[in-house]
Amino acid sequence: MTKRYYYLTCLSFMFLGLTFAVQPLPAQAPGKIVSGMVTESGTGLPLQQVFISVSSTGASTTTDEKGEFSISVPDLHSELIFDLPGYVKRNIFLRNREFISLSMVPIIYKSLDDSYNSPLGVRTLKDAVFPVTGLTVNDLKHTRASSFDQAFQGKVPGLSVTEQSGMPGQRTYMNIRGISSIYAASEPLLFIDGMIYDYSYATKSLMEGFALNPLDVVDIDDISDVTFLKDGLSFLGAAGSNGVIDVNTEQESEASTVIKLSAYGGISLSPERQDLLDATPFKGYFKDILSSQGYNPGQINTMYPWLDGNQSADEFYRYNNNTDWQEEIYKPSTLYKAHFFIKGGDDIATYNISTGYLSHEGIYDKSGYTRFNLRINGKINITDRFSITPNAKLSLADSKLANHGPMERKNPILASLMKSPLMASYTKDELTGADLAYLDDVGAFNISNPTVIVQNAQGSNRNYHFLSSITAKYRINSNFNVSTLVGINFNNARENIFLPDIGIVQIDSAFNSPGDFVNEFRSMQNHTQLNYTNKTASGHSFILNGGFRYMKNSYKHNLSLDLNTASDDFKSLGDGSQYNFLRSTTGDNRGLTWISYFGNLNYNFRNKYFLLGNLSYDGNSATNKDNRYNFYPSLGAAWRLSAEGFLNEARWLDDFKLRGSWSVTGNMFSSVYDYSKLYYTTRRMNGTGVLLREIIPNNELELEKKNTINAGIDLSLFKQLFNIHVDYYNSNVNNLVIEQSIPETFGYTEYFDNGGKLQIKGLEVAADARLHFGNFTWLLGGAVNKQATEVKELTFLNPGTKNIVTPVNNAQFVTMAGKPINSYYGYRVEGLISSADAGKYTGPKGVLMQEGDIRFKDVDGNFVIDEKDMEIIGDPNPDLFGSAFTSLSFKNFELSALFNYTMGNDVYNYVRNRTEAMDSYANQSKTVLNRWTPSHKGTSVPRASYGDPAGNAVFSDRWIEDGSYMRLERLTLSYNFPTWQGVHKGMVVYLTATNLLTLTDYSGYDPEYVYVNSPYYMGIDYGKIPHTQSFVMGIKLNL
Amino acid sequence: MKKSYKISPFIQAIIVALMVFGYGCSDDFFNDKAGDRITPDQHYKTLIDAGVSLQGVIIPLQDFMPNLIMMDGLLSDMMDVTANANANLININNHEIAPGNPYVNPASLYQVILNANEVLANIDKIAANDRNFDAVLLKAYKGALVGMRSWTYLTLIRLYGKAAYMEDNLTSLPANLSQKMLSRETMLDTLINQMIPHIHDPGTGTQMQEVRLKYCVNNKALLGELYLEKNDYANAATYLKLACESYLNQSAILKVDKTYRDAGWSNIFLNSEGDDVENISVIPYSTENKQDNVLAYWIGRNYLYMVKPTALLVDSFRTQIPAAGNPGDLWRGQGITIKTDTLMQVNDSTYLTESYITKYEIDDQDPLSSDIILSRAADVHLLLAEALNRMGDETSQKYALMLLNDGVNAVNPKPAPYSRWSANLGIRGRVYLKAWELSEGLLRNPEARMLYIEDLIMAERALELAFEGKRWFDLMRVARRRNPEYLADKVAAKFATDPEVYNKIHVKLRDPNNWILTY
Repeated sequence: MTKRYYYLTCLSFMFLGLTFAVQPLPAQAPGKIVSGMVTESGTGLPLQQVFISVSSTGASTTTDEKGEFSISVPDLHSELIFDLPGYVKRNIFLRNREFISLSMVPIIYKSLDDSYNSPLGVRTLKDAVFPVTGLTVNDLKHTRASSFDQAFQGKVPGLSVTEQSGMPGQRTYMNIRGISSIYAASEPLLFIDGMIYDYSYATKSLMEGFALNPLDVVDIDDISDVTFLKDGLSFLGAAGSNGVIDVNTEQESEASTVIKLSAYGGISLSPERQDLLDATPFKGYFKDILSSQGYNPGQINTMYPWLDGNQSADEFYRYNNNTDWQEEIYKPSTLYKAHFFIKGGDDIATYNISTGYLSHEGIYDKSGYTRFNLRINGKINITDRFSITPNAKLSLADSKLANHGPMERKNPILASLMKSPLMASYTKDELTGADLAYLDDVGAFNISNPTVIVQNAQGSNRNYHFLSSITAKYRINSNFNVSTLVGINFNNARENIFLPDIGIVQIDSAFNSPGDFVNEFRSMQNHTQLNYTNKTASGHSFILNGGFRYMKNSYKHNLSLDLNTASDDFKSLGDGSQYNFLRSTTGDNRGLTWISYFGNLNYNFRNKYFLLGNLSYDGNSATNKDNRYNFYPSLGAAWRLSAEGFLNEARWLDDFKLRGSWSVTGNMFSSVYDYSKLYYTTRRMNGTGVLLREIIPNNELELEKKNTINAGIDLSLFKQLFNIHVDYYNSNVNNLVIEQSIPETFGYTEYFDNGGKLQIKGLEVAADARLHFGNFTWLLGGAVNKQATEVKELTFLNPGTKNIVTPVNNAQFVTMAGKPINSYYGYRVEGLISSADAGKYTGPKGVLMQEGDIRFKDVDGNFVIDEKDMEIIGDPNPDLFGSAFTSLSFKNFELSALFNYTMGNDVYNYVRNRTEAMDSYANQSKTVLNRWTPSHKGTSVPRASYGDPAGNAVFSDRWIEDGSYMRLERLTLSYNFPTWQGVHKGMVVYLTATNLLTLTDYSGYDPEYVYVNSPYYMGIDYGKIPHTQSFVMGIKLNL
Repeated sequence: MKKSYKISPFIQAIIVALMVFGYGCSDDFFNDKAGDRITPDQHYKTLIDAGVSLQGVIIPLQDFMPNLIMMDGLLSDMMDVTANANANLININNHEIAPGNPYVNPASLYQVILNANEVLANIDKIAANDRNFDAVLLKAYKGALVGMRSWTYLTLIRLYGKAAYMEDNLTSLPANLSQKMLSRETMLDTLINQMIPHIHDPGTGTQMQEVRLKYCVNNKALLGELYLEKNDYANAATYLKLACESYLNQSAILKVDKTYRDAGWSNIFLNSEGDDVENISVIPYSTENKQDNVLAYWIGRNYLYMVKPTALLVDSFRTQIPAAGNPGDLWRGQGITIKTDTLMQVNDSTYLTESYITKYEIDDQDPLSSDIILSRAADVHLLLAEALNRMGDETSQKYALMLLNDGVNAVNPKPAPYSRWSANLGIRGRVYLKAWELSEGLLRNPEARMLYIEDLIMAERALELAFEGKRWFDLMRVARRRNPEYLADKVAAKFATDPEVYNKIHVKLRDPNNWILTY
């Protein structure tokens, strides 16, 4: 496709716009009288005092006590506007009807006529051409969520939100319509009060498996509405390919002062325990594993005299406990939050100030998260045409973190599962067996003391966010207005970590290690936009936007690690070793500049035919000069069937609209595009820095572009009591960036090019219903998302390469044409080696397999189990996910429940791998009681053998489990106190239970987790802090 | 406060449009850089840039040299594997190298070539920018770059029999990844032609002074070595001799003099970077700067100890005859290059002994900082002796023996071509070993004499340059001019205790095609 093609597209938009604009007005018909009746949706009660006006003439009237009205209109194509406080405003075209029967939806319920904020301005949901979902305050209430993203879970079709773990302050992994890239971003672009908020970088932490949540810059109680734009984001050019979440905090304020107070408090319970061996079976297992090393009972007795309960043996008390380590580390924890909000002002200036404090304890000692938020919004009307809106948000978050990576050495959860029950947290008095005051060291089984990790390992993080903008708006005339926003975003995180010596397994010569980390993100932005709106009397409506966005981001971090301080009491960086070779310092300093010129045309004719076009011309610093600027077009059309005459008589049909669209967007958020440029990198030669080239650049590397075709249906029945939205999409990334291997004779073998094709297909169905029975109102809703990401094609430079195998810690993923992206790649288990097959197969570690070992599938039939026998053994991506929501209100009581579910995703249970590997002195799960022994052969659990020479525990489908689950995410009971004149204007008390029930076959703690935000760690459970059941009680007070 | 503005909407729209398109016209606007890296337009401005880039060309050898020394030792008769060795090393030792063996990966060498081309393509910019970077320096830098690049190509063709030849600065991948592969012979000619313009002509006094750049090879020595590889002995001898001398007919630079005499010999490895009479080209390592010498870690007795010296080499050191005293190479052998320890008493009369390589732990306080020497005076002198010997005439052979034995210093009167070499002690003389003499019979038989002297030189190179990455190349060079059997005999001798393996290796190595590594 040439640039000329794009220009033509662009020009045709303009032409189309102009032809309609210059169309002569139809001759003025003689006036007509229209009458009608307005009722409340749901109850059917007549509404009086509804203000009705004719948009073309301005004539107006109100309904009487029966809800009836009559009004004079110039012709039967006029548009009427119905407005009543407490109800959603409606605009309708007469469409030749002389009698209008209209129902209005109370503002507390969702309605098609709701408006939503998009980065281009305010739009109406029912006129949407591209798929969009809006959330309001009501969707985000009564939650214990520490940040707003957690509350999006299950609320939006097409959006998947996974909390990374149960660690307070942890971010979520959000994704709209699937993974669209291997190396570039797959997470939606976030707007907060009109500013792009890049939240990818400010998440970094030294704690393995932990990512900070930069979204806590906005308190959930400050949010007024959120919009999810899932497609058609060409006006955002290279930033638009993963959808947009547009979050707006409360801005509008009335002249009278409003004060709101809210608070909650509650507890989290500790998680359900995993079934592990007690002391006695552990001893049996331990002896088994020792004998697999070739020790006979006599030798074992010499080495471990305390093993057989010999009280006089040295360290008898140290090694004769029966500790439940899970019990040692977990504890119930508390949750608190308070929020204060005030708004007010006059015609000239209004203000809107809020502040909040939140404290969530973690489920084990010394972990937790506290946060302070401050927000100030205002609006100053300098003239009636010119206004300024300043906006500032500040948050300070303190976290006490714990490691939850794949190393049981540092991860307290893994350590608690693997530590032998024979030991105890504290050292023992050698004579009496009483606990002494000191935590015990590692001891005989070579697993860190979990209590030490929890109590003495330090991970404190302090995170500052500052987000501020000022917007100036000038109304040129009734059709034109111009606005510009200038904003900065600043994030600074400091982290201090310390890993003690005593109680933690040592690696090489490292005893203890302090570390410091500073992470800084800055962004400068400007959005300038000219808007044109026009509505002709004949029913042509135009909205035209044009302007540009400018963004300059800087990403920077510094990290220092040292080793071996004088003792565990010295924890800061300066206390560490003076030797250079024990220290390491690393850093990063990157930038991204982006400028995007965009145009947007919104046209509709009498709310019946809709046309929407976007075009942006976009330049960024991610790729090299040759591919810097790109065009991104999109085009959509919609047809409201329900506005056609032939459906005028279908009273049960409130709205019926078909949508179709096509869009092209880009994906610039990735450092992989650095491979398009030649850089010189530095190495050290003795004391000096020397310079050499980094790579062979790929001058042709271009930004990944996503083409999406979307088709949708919006249907609303029975006066908006029943609504359904269906969207089908098919996205193709035809220039997916993949890593190539190039011959060694080029010196640099790392090379990336646009050699892949990816297809993402999906179907989203969301439906809701509202039923009224007397005093009862019952709301019901749900969403189903079916989604599949498939690698369509891979073109390798090296003809011998067929697929890309990516090893990560203890697992492997494969990218293979025709298969889901990032499938698990490993061996398949077929059972155990029988006595007949003993010695026949060479195992994955090159050792002959014995009876009782795993019999892996020998794909090539050569009796050698090696990488040629690997196949795809699972897909971490879900086939289906969604939610169900219900709420029942009776008078002032309301009971609501939210369910989430995920189906068809495979997970790699690394925790089970460690607790069923039977290859070390680590404690194991009860499953190993069923292990193969010469006297117990009819089993599927292999034999225990130290070091696992046979490779029974290697990455195979033995560890892959079905990760489907259904969870009762939230259950809330609330009571709405009636207004008490002079005391309060409203008060709600609620009780929310979170995570009350989970239905799953997954054997780990919790099926909901994400290790890190990378497609290459999807589905691996390295032992994350599980989500806990929690109960909070809260109050909201309006004064 | 209310004002009304009387600007037509049209004009206002134009103002806004101007504001919009005023942004982002220049490329500087998108000049965001990634991390601790710089872009080409920030570089090649000053003399300092030339220095860091030249060293940047060499630095990939920090990764490669440990591999080269392991390959050299195991392929030849210098090293044997221990029980700690990994499968890749065992395969190298058995000449059964599977694709993907990481020790055999040539990528680092090609990085040297790519970077050398890159700097050569850009270095004129510095001359244009910085007047301190004058013509003399420019010539020196270009020479050094061509020299390092040629050394790398030579190493490639020696190991792999061919090399991908890159004429220009590679700024992007060629279509279909096509590369010009040059055979050993073609490459040697190409390299010689490339080197000649970068040799300073000593004949004219008007020539500019030669500048020696740290860490780089000596171009004359390298050119001599290239000729030697081609069996062009006269040219080889000319350039190797020139390499040892300086301009304007002053005394020799690379002297093999008293600086590292006797006990001082081991200081060659301690002073590797600070010295300019012995060490020519050195790859530095430093634990303090976090550049550990992984070779020392692989071989060290206190570290991984994956390889050990062969019994042949240990014996060879032990049986050397000094000018006086008990047998043994006192200053280079036990405790310096190698060490043999009695470890464990197996029974009353048998002790288990174990040998290990100590050449890279001469500084026993900080062995991981040991440098790896790419080229030094003794190497050049022995190559010169080899070329002289092969020239075949009696005088040249006399000089060859002189350089091998007690040096120019011991000869009186000084022969004319070596009149200014009076400080030269000879390779053996420097470490106080007895000089080799020719028997009457040999003096009468030129052919046998030549082979005999060549054997002596080869044996001496094995001792002097043990574990410096030379032996495998020496064996191939000599075997090519003599007979493949020569190499097969030498290497298979390592497996003498197991006749089956001995035969297998011997048969394999009789075919020169099997000397070539593939990756």
